[in-house]
Amino acid sequence: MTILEANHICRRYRRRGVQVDALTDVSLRLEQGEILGVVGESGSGKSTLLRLISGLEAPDEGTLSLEGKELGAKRTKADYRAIQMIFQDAVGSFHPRRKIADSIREAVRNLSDAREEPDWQTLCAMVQLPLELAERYPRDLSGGQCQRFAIARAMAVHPRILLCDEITSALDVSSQAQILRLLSALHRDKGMSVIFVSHDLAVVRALCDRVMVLYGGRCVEEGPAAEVIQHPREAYTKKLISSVLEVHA
Amino acid sequence: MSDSSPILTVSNLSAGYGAGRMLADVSFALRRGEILCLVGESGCGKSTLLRAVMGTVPGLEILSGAIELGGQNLLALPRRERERICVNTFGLVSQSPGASFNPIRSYRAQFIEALRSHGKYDRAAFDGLVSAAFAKLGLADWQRILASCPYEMSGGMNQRIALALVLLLEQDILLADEPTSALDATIQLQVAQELARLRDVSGMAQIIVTHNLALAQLLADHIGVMYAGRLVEMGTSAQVLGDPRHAYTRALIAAIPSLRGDMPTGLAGAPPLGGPDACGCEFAPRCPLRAAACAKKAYALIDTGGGHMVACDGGAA
Repeated sequence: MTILEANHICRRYRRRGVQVDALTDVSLRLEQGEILGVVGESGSGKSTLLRLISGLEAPDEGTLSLEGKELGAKRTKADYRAIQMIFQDAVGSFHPRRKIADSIREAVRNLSDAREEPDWQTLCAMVQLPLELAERYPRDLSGGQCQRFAIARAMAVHPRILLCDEITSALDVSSQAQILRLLSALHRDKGMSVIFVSHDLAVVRALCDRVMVLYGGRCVEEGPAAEVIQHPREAYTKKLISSVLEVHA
Repeated sequence: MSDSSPILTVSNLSAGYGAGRMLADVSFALRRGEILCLVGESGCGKSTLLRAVMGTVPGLEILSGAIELGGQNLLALPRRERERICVNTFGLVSQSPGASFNPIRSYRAQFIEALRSHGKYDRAAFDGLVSAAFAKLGLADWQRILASCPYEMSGGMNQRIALALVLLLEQDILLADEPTSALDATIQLQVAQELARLRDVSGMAQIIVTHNLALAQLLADHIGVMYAGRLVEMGTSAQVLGDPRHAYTRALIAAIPSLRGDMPTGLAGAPPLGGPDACGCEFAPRCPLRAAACAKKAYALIDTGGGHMVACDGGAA
């Protein structure tokens, strides 16, 4: 079942009087329980795509629909709950002078009609962190721990889709592996649908079922992750693959 | 590429902020033209070690040990004298590409300022030297670059221009703190190749801090693996990555994703926030090979042969 569909979406910005086409005619389908990887360099339109899907911005052209229902310019709380975004800068995504638990509580209450209290036990168990860490400030946690709480914050409103914007790029390899395993478990155990944006094809290969390659705001290649990486058709995809650094024993 | 006598020798260095010790018992030597990569997770003391060597970071105190540069112990010198030597010897490239330059002043003005402060500015020779340095690093269009401001450039370009400045300043040792971590995969590779080229054209020794073991393999002659403020394994790139002995090194290698598509193994837990303990192995709580004796084991880096040093091989030897 298709959970999210984007049809021919375009997004343009004006920068110093010059029109910049951030995204041109991009279409995608995300199936229920699928992890879709989106790769490309800085400026390829990856983050713009997520901002449009999450509702932070509206497309200039094209349509987005969630479970067959078109997402208009004005979204409801239920729409926002359904699509949750996680950002690259985990520490910066929390209020620096509030405890992590307070930030998560605020995020949940902003999107609920009643004064809903997050289920702390379940959330902390889900991201494999001890409950007491939620009572700390972001500066007292590592980047990896903050990112796991950012995932907990997104999961606290029971979303249908997680949008991950370079969420492991600022982490060391060990924390990165922990986050990848966590997302993989959410996908396996809860059937989460995920759009995972990254510039690192090896990370995308480890996690994603399908991959979409963006270049200059257009989709240049798309297919099953293993297929695209083993038999890339586009020169740009080949360049991305050749830039992956691997350890050779 | 490297000569035999070290230009920089660090012996039993311990350092910390205030009362907290963040580094202990660190010893290594660096030769001309050699690249040493320091690897480990965030919070393992890699950057602190770089700052301790640089020696001009407020609040970071050297508690014991020696840093010898060309046979002279820097720590025995008056502060001003030490700073003068360090500034002339060490070039610095940081993780944030924007941090090396003022974003709204032209590169030309900033290059001139940097050269002047090092007493190396010669107006007549400036253009020729800059074009030669840019050419050596494969950067085209030096005149256009010099006339632009850093805010107009991408992160990768800024990092490459910072390397050109280091080359112009003719410093002996480059200290680079995660120089490629903030960059895209394609640009990462480009900057890595430029670091290698910088070494090849100038013989500049480099200490590169990175959490990326694949980058270390690409660049390093020697690799030092750090955990909780101590070196836990050290050797040539082939020794450390081809025959890793410490459980921590193995865990770091297993955490790197590959294009084969295997899910990388994450090492559970996080490094301790405090520095090294006086006794007992700090890695023991996360170590798959831990034994009762680990809690009391004193730290020592043992040579397992051919200069491959390891703090613990899990009883394999």
